[in-house]
Amino acid sequence: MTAIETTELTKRYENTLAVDDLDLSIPEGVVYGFLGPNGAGKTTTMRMLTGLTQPTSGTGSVAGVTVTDRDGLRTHIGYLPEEPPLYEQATAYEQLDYVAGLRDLPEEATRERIDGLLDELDLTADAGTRISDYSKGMRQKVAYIQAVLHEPDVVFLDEPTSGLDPRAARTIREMITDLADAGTTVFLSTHILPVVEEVADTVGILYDGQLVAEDAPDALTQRAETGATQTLEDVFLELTGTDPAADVEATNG
Amino acid sequence: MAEAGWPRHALSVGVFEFQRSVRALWQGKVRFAFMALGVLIPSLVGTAVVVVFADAIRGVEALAVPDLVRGMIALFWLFGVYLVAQRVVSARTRIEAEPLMLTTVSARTVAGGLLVAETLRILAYIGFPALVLTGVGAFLLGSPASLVLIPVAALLFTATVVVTGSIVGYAAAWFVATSRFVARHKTVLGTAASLIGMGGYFLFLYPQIGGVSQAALAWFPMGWFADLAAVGTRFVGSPLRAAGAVVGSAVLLLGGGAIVERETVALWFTEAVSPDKEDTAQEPEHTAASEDSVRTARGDALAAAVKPLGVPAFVPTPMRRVAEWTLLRTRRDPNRLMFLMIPVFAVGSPLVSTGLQSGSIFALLAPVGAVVLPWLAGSLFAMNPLGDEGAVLPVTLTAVSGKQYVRGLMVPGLLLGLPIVVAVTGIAGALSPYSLGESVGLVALSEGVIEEFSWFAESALTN
Ligand SMILES: Nc1ncnc2c1ncn2[C@@H]1O[C@H](COP(=O)(O)OP(=O)(O)OP(=O)(O)O)[C@@H](O)[C@H]1O
Ligand SMILES: [Mg+2]
Repeated sequence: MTAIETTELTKRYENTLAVDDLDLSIPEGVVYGFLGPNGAGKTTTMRMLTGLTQPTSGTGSVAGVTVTDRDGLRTHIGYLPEEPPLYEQATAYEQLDYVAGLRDLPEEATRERIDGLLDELDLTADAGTRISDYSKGMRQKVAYIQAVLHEPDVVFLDEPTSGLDPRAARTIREMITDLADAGTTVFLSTHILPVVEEVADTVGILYDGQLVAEDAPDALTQRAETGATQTLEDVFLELTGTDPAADVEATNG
Repeated sequence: MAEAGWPRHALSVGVFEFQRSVRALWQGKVRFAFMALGVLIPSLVGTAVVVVFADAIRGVEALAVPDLVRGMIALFWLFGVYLVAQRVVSARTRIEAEPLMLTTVSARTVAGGLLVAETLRILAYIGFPALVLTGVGAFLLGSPASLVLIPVAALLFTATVVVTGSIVGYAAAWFVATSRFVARHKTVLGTAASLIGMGGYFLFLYPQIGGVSQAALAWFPMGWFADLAAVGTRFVGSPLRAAGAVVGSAVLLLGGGAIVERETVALWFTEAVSPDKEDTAQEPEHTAASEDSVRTARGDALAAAVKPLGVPAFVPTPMRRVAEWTLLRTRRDPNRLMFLMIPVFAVGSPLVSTGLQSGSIFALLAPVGAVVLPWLAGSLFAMNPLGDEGAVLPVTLTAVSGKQYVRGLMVPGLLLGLPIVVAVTGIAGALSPYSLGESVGLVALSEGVIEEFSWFAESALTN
């Protein structure tokens, strides 16, 4: 079964075409690396797939539920947005217990799971401190935990390693791999290309709202014609360096 | 549709949100102390009155619930709706951490949670006085029923105020989000709505102004809460009305709750229009392609944006920039304007009533104008200079000196506020029984207040 499926998914803001006819088909248990320059439409795509914003046209489904059915969607998804959605006045424990309670997760087991995740991310010592006193990376960790706490089928991670120190970033990379091994689908956007190279099974590159490439990382960096190997960064820069419309004109002229 | 167990979830969202607002308040100790005193002092005074007059209350004869009391309850209810609507539209249209909440629970749960939280906030204010009243009913008037009915009346009163106010507030927010006209003129429209609301309130609160008293509102069903609270005491209300208050509240809470749910869904899942863009029939372009046109259109963005207002060129540049930005921010985010109205009227209302009793409203207006208006002008543009700039402040202060920054903040207040203040104080002084000398003194005082304010802001910043 496919975990994420979209057909001509489009989002138009007043004067911006943020996502343009996006077709995705992502199987279960896959880590999908979603790349693209700033403003390409990655966050907008995630907001549509998590039901937070309505597509202008086209359809999408996540875990077999159409994205306009917000109530059906909720139990299947976890979302880590760009800005960690946390409450300054709460401690990490309070925040996580609160979210677990709203999802009606079993109390004992969930508390153990929270403690385990806090431990893995080196946050146990600070978990009783108010989030207002946290650093950017500490916030990121709490937000990550609350996105995966309920063991959703599909997890959307918008820049999960942003602000993390190298050790924490590695832990998160390992956690992502573990999630996928356990059958969870991970939809991941990041600007840190080595992260994608390491964890992603498939990479999609979005440019100006359109999907301009989609393949396994290895396949993307191997040039079929010449047999030469490029870095993912080279591929990214090449595919997103020019206006696709201008390219068409250039070949026509 | 909502998830199973949504009422329980909504309750826990409400309690959590309420705790957060208490914690946030607690952080600003001074503000917290003021608010606590604001709740405590009236309650203590009320309690003292009850204790002193205990015997008199105990001996009260059977008496019909006067229309004046019903009307007063109705007036407070309407005023509460007005305040809640204003709070919703200016600061609480969305829940914090929205992407988390809306992917965790249903919109109904979130909306319900926000209603519960607001109800708890209001109960924090009126809870203690309501308890005192309950004590009076139960122990002085010998009505055991009061132990239940007065708290129930207070709870229903608060909950219906919150639901009705929220319906109005979310509707207003929806208009701001979807109508470009409303979005563009929200400052003017919002101020007008505030003034009308406040004006209406004072009209009924002070019969001396327009000759209409609170009793004129007695027909309004919300006054029936008085009948409900009076059941069992020696105040004889109408049992029909008491029952009506309960049934009516239930209907209003259920129906109103459903309306609030629809409004919030419409609001939270719709993109807001941008007030700055023109309506264009033109096809949306890809962003990369439109960059060139942006570049050619580029003038002095800040100066252009504050038009038709402006800061004269003789003001030195860094100060002028801060001043222009302050003007722009006030216009784009008129919340600060709304919030100012409330304390001003809160302080103003007892003054006005004394003024009315003493006969000359101008006798009062002149000194009030001298003190309150400059404060208003100053705080409108410069209140809490550190807090407003927020995350940008470190950047701002590495670019301009603290002195330039504060003076920049004061420029709009001086430019727009000073002439108004001088005119109002002067005219009121001339019409009042004060002598010319006293009037001039008041005008001087008003300028002094402005000076004081700028000195205070400057020293607050440099410390
Ligand atoms: N609420 C909104 N209203 C209007 N335009 C928007 C809105 N949100 C996003 N956009 C526009 O949609 C486009 C895509 O934005 P999006 O946030 O999806 O980009 P992104 O790929 O996530 O970028 P980044 O890498 O910087 O996070 C941008 O041109 C942005 O200006
Ligand atoms: Mg983004």
